[in-house]
Amino acid sequence: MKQMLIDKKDMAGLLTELTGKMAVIAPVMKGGNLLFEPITDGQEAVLDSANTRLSPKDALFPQCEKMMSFTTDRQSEEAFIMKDIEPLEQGQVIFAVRPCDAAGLVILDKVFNQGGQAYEDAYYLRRREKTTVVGLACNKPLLTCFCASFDKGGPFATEGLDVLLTEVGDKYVATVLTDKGEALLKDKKGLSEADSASIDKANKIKDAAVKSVDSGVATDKIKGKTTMELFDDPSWDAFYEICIACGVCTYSCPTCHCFDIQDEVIDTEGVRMRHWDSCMFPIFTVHATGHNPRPTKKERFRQRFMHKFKYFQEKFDRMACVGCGRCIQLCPVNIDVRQLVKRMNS
Amino acid sequence: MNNPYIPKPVRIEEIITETEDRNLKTFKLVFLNQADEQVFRYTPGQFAELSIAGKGEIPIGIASSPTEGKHLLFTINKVGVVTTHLHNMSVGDVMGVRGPLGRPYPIDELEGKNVVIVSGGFAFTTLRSMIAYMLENRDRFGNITVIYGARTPGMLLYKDQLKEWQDRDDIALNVTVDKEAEGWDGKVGFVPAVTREVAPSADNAYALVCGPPIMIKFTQPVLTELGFTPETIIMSLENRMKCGIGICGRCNVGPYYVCKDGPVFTLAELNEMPKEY
Repeated sequence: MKQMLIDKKDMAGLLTELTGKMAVIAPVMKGGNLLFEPITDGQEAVLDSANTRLSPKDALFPQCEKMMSFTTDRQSEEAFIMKDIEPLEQGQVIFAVRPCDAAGLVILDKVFNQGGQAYEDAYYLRRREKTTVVGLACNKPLLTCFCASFDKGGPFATEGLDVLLTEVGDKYVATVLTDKGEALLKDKKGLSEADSASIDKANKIKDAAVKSVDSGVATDKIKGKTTMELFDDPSWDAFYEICIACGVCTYSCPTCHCFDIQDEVIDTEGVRMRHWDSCMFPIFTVHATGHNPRPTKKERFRQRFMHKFKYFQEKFDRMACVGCGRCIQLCPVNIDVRQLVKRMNS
Repeated sequence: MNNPYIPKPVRIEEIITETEDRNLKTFKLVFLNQADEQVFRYTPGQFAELSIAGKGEIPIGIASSPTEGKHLLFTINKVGVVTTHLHNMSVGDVMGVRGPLGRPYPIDELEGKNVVIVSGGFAFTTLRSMIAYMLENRDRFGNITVIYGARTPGMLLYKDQLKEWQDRDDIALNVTVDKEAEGWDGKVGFVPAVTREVAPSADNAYALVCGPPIMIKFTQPVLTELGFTPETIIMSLENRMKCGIGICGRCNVGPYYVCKDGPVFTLAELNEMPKEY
């Protein structure tokens, strides 16, 4: 495994150089929040802060995305015929992605590519192919972090990453993990081979960080329980009532992927769009007849957690949670997903 | 890369008003491009997303059988934005079809078996596809018994087709309406009661059931009394859908996505999952 050193003072220059070749998406301060946004100057990137407000999933699965275009002009030979919109002509790099968020992308990869052409989400996969993911290890996990609760998870986990950066004093140790990562760093100015002292230092930081993630939850028993056993558990009542169904947990989650499809037309020119949606909202499942299979907040609340920790596991053999803790930080009524998982696992 | 979200253009070739309230119409659609027609290979029980540019998409069960030719039939209830718009469209108009989608009836398993079709209301559409398919491949199936109910004689679908099937001796057709009606000399009564009266044998048989929830609720015990097991009762679910390919999350019930893992499920499968449909 190739390991390189990058001086902190050279990082902005390296990022600026990359912006000339591809889109560079990095954490930036915007409206008081740290968010993943495209940058044009490496100085904009904020690499010394805790996790971002929202995950970088938007770079692969945008909150609002054009899928097709069409005209409703009956004079046109193409009237009412849908035309594909090919996204992302150039490549992109998502920079300083925390390992939990990278694991989120691996989960999305499974959802958006379920094998066979009929089940491939072209929009996501076309972007994914052109995307390189550079991770930034978590030297100091937050109190709400529980990434180590999941297989392959942890503050230095490498799943889903092409390069992992570890902050070591005034340098970063860059561990190259894939060919994409190798190609990204090839012939870049300011990079040198990592020396053993830096690698040792990085390993010590890693050990300390792994130990500091102490808010883990056990998830091992959920798999052995039947769907209906968990579904019918009376303890859902103890949790759902305080939920105000605002949906912030779903929008901030790196693995939530529900969406709606809508047409928008101005005069005779239109686009078919998709937008993030949420299972916490009442109209999400309502039929045209008015029948709603999940009529109250209880069923909707239960669905979110059953899907993440049970249904998803049955389908993809892993849970749809990476322990980033955003839903805990942002929930306006202090619902803590760890308490729910604990209950489901008990 | 193939993009499964792109609807293929089709032209409306014929519109048949089915019911006396004029809320149910059958649309006969033909692909604009031959290549699209050749790729669209479906099996009874599957559905497609019908698409009207500017209005949106709706998942609708395919009413035609692949044995009936190159056109597709969809019977559509005027109930929402897209269906209302569709009802106002004319022969010659262009729209889109995306599919075929979902798990169909298990034809291989049904071959050599007696098949009992139980249906009420406009859910009969996908079962029409199955019946047409079986009649076209008559020697591959055993006895075919159909029990189909509507509120009134005027609410029955495919009236000409029903007459044609009535005259055949290789299918037992039992059409019923809820109440006595002028000019109606057929069966009267709800589907569960007629099922009990017809009493199809469960020996070497499968029951394919599709209808409103109330009909299913009362029909299921009758079929169980007759000896059908949860493995031999096959249902078809309807859930709100968008993507149709198991991604957008809307139709998720338990570990299944109705659009991809269904809409066809056995009662045995449904018994293991939450009743969120």
